[in-house]
This record gives sequence, structure tokens and C-alpha cells, in this order.
Amino acid sequence: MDSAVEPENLPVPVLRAEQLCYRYSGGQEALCGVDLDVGHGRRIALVGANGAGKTTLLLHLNGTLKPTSGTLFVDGEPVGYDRLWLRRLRETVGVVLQNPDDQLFAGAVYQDVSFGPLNLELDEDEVRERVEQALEALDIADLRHRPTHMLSYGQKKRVAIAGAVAMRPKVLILDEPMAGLDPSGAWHLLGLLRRLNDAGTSLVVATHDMSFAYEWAQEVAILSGGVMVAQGPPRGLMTDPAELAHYGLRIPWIVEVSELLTECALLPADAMPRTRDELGTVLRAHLVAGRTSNRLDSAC
Amino acid sequence: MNTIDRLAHNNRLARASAAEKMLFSMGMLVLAVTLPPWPGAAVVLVVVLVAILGVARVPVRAYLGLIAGPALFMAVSMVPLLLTLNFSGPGLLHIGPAPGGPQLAFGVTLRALAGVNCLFFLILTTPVPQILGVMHRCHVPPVVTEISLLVYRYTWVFVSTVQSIRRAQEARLGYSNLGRSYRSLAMLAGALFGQALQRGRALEHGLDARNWQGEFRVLDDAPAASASTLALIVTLEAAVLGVTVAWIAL
Repeated sequence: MDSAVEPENLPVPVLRAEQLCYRYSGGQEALCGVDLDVGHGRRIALVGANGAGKTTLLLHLNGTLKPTSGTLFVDGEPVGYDRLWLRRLRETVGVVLQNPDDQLFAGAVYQDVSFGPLNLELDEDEVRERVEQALEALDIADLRHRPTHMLSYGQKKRVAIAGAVAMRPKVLILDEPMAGLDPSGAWHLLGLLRRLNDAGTSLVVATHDMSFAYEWAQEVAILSGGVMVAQGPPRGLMTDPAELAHYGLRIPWIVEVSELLTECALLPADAMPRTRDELGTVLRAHLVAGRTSNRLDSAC
Repeated sequence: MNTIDRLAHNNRLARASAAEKMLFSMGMLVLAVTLPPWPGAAVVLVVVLVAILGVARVPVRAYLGLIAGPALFMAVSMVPLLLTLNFSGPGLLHIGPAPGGPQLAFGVTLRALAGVNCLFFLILTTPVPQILGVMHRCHVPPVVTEISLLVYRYTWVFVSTVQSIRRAQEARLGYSNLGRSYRSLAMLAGALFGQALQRGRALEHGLDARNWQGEFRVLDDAPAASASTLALIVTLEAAVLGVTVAWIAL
């Protein structure tokens, strides 16, 4: 089901970056030959160490930055940077950056969330409906009259995300959305992401939480030093500790534990559980099988 | 400033129509300034105090804390009204009671107190964004309202930033003597300025991401002014006028 190779008869990706290069005006090169494919309804984790260029890449995906070379495609068409194109790009691609204070400006939550849909020139009733839905989805409906400076960090993050969700983009891109959220907030956010994804929205999450990426993503894109190293299913790309260390990353916790358990012969070598539940299932099955055939290794 | 903002958002009239509140406040202000201080301004004062403390339920302690400043100023201003300075006559300087001083002082103070409370009603019940909303509907140029909104919004961001930087500096003994304090303060100002530019740019990106067309068009879910309430307010103001006139006539 997860395929790293894209044959010609697969649908055109909703968003595609081809050989993006970007050099800051100070002369510093931030991105070099970056490719990224975002298919319809896919869940993609963009991983990379700090400074790898994740945020720079994300700013390209909604036209905030224009690459020095390379092309961005939306539904197969190359993106222009005139007003009409930028409007279409930002209707399709919603980007929520890390610091909510850089995105909220209005007097109260309700007004801030209404900003995006209003800019899409929808009529007032439609805007109101979208705002209500977004507030409900992010569980902030009771905060609608609160001014933005009387919100906690987690609440501000949710307002920022609501502002993007209200625009109903086909691709929602989030830069470290879990950072700074408490476990309850993170859990709620994951629920929202799942609902959006089930409804067909593609999701791109930039993160350096390897365990989350491994468990959640259908595809992982690894960025290192401004270069896109690879894009593909997590199992193929996130299991070599040496390689990941080279990119400033490490293997997910569950991979480490699985390898340890395999060494102690408590887990078959070909088991590659991605989640805690999968691990539990495989472990129990293997232990039951071991007891039945009386085959417990002492090498541990 | 923080107290006023908090009170404005948490009082019982916070969600009421801003137009109604402004009509009440400005109408009473006009009455306070034009009617004779006694009994006109006194009646206005009583009505507005009832509105602030009774209707809007602003906590009395908070209110007293805020009115203390203006009240002190008014008390001090009474002194020159009560006395006259005379350079003629025996001696270098002659200070004596001014004829009609007490009446003048009483009248001016009463009128000032009433006027200040009219404005207090407005600022303690109406959050700044609501006022800006009314201004926008009165076709005040967006340049004015949008910049005001940004100033309001980012004031809090910078207050919090100043606090953080200042605490960090204090933790590293940045204010341990006068010379260091000046230096630390200068660095704080510089850092704030740099951050302001950076935040401005970042906000621009954030707004662009939501298809900013150049104007801060937002929707409000504030209630519109109801004609009956507006009529009630006008009636109340007419009543104040009527009571005053009747009192004087008698």
C-alpha cells in the first residue's frame, strides 16, 4: 500500500516541489535541489534537525518565499507569483507556523478566525459557518470573545490552526504543531488531524519528534542541510541509526525497543511494529508461540 | 493599563453593543459639561456611578484604585481655585481666600468628576477592539483603526517580552548597580526594537498565508445596537436634563 515509486498512471500530486533552491539575500544557501511530493489525502512527516531548512521549505510551499531556482506545482500546474496565483496557492495550501503570536492579530478569537475565509471573498453566512466549524473542531468555541493576549500558549496555537482550517485548504501544513502542547492538547490535535485527513485533506507536519513521525506518517521526507535526502514510507527510512545520526536525527523509540527485544529473541526479526499497540500484539503472539514450542533463548 | 483591559473584558456589559455604550457615555459627557454643575453634573455623576458599579458590576476596589489618580489631581487643582495671589498691597505677596472661591472650586470639581466618570464608564466596559469596531463602522479610515488595533495587540506582546528580558537580565545581575542598570536598559530597548522589526515581518508572512488583501477585514459576532436600548438611553439623558431644569426652576 505504501509505495515509494510513483508510476505514471497515479494521480497528479496536489502539491509538488521540484528542485527548489533558495539562497537568502545575505548569500547564505538554505535549500538546494529540494523535491517534495504531496499526494491527495496523504500524511507526510517532514523531519530534519534544527537548521536543516524545514521552515524555509514550508515558507516556499505557500508562496511566501520565491525559490531562486526550481518550480512549485499545484495540481500539476507550475505556480506563478502574481496575485491571482498566490490567491489560488493559499486557498489550496494552508501553512501554520510555529509561533502563534506571529499569526494572530485581531481583537478577539472569533474575529481572527474569520480573517482567512473573508479573504477568500466568501459571503458572510458561509464565513460564519466556517468559523463556527473551525472553533468547534479545535475545541475553542468558548474562547470566541477572548482577546488573543489573554490566551495560554496552547490556546493560541489552536486559534492559529483554526484560522487556517477555516479556509479549508486541500493541504494543511503545520510546523511543529505539538511543540509546547500538553499531552491532552496534543491528543486533541491528533484527533483533529485524523478527522481532517479522513475528510481528504493532505497533511504535512514538520517535526523532529521521530517517534510521532514514525507512528503517524504514511510518508517521511528527510531534510538535512538544505537537501531533501529521501521521501518514502517510514519503515524504509527510519531504521538505520548511523544514517539518521548523520542527519542529526535518531531512530524512533519503538524501533530501538523492537531491536532490543529481537536481540533477546522475544520478538521475531522481521517484526517491525510502528505503534505501541502493534508491538504489544506481536510480542504477545510471539511469547505465546514460544511457550507452546518451549523455545526460549538464554542469550540476552 | 492591564487592569483596565481586564475589567473591560470581564464586566457585565462587555458583550453589550458598543454603540449603545458610546451613546450613553458621550451623551452623559455632553450633559456633564454643559449643564450647571449643581445639580446637573451631580445627577450625571450619580447616574454614571450607578451604571459603572451597579449595572456593569465593576468591582468597587478596582474602581477606587483607578479613580484615585484623577481624584488626587482634582483635589490638588482645587487649591488655586480657592485662593488668590496678590502682589499689590503690603508685603511681597498676599495670599487670601478668593471671593466666590468655594463655589467655583466645588462646581469645577463636580463637573470634572462627572466628566471623568463618563469616560471611565466607556473604558471600563468597552474593550478597545469594540471601540475600534464602532470607529470602523463610522467610516474612520482603516489606516487609523488598523494601526490602532496593531498597537493594542502588540502592546501586550511587548509588555510580556519586556518582562521576560528584564527578568533574565536581573537573574544575571544586570541591574545590580546604576551603571549596569543603564546598560541593561539600553540593551533591553535595542532587543525590543529588533524584535519588533522581526515580528512585523513574521506577522506579514502569517497574514499572507491567509490571503491578506491589504485590509484587516474581520467578522464580529457582537450584537448590533437595539433600537429600544438606544431609545432608553436617550430617554435617560433627557430625564437627567429634565430633572436638572426642574430643580433649577424650583
